Amino acid sequence: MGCSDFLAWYSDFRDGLITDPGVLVELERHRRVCRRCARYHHAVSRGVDALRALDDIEPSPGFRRELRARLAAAVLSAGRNPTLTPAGVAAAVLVAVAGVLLLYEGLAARGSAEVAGERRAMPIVVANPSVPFVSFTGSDAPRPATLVVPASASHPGADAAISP
Amino acid sequence: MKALAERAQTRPLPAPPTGPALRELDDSGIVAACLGGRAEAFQELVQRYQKRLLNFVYRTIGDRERAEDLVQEVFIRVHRHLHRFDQSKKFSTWIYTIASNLAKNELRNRSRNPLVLFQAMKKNWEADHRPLQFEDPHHRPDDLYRKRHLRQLVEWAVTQLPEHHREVFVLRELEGKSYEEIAQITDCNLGTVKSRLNRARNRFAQVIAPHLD
Repeated sequence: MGCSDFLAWYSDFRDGLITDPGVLVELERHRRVCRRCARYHHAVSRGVDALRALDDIEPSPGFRRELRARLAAAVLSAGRNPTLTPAGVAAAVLVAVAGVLLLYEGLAARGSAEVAGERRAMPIVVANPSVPFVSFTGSDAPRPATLVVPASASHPGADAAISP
Repeated sequence: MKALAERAQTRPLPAPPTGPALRELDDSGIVAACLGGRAEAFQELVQRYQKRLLNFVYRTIGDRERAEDLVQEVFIRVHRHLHRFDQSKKFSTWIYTIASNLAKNELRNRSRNPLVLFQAMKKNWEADHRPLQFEDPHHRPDDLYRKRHLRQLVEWAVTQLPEHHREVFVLRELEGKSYEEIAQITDCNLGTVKSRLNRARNRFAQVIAPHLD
């Protein structure tokens, strides 16, 4: 067995998880003959022993009192309004803002539609352009008769007049 | 109506649910008592786990005050969600999982927020407030120095481990958890636990070996 095999098996070896007696014997033998791996094993063992010998830290004197206060506050807030969590409040605010925006948008659109309804009718475009070829009067208004005499009128056989 | 009210007044109050002494019960018994309405059963859970969890979280995050806050948070969550706990499972694994998740969140927040990290480090630089005491005169000063030095060294060596390796290392070497329990607590498979533990031990040995000779 080489050092890389030893290191690969080491955790199982240390935790007593190796069930194959042959592997166990090989690992033990390698640890005895290899100085590097023996040093490694010594460092882990001694280091962990020192770590375990460290004094445990104790909860501070006010730990239980603070915990009771925090638990009471948690129970109280849960009893008062179980749905009033920060996420719930944020979601409710977002929905409310979205509702207000939709309402505002709807009112604004309605207002602009009313303004558009008050506009005058679009001008009527006359099919055969003559002077004036665009009328800005409404369709009900009497249209002035226009008499245009083309230049060709002086010639015999030409149209006499074009009326609207 | 009046007679009913009088009868209600004279009727004795229902006796609080009683059972065997809480200290004699194992964790699952305590949990059952807690869910059965015995308020003092929760205090027994706190009594059993406060010190273990405090040391586990402290070794993981390295800040004592914050560790106390987090352990209190663990108990608040246990209190809130105990009804959801699957009683066919081991309670200690469940409570350690909560503590482990909170510790991981704490480390993640620190890595995102350098100010929090700085404040945690500053606390450790500040003066030691432990009371002064006389040393044991039966030990030679150089032995005492060596022991103290070794303690500081191993504590420091643990802080040098990467976060995931440190958690597995502490759970195995200090808390004595089995590989299966560690896998459940850290939400990893067994192979990952073994690999992380092996690497953690390797790194730990590398850090302290030069100082042991």
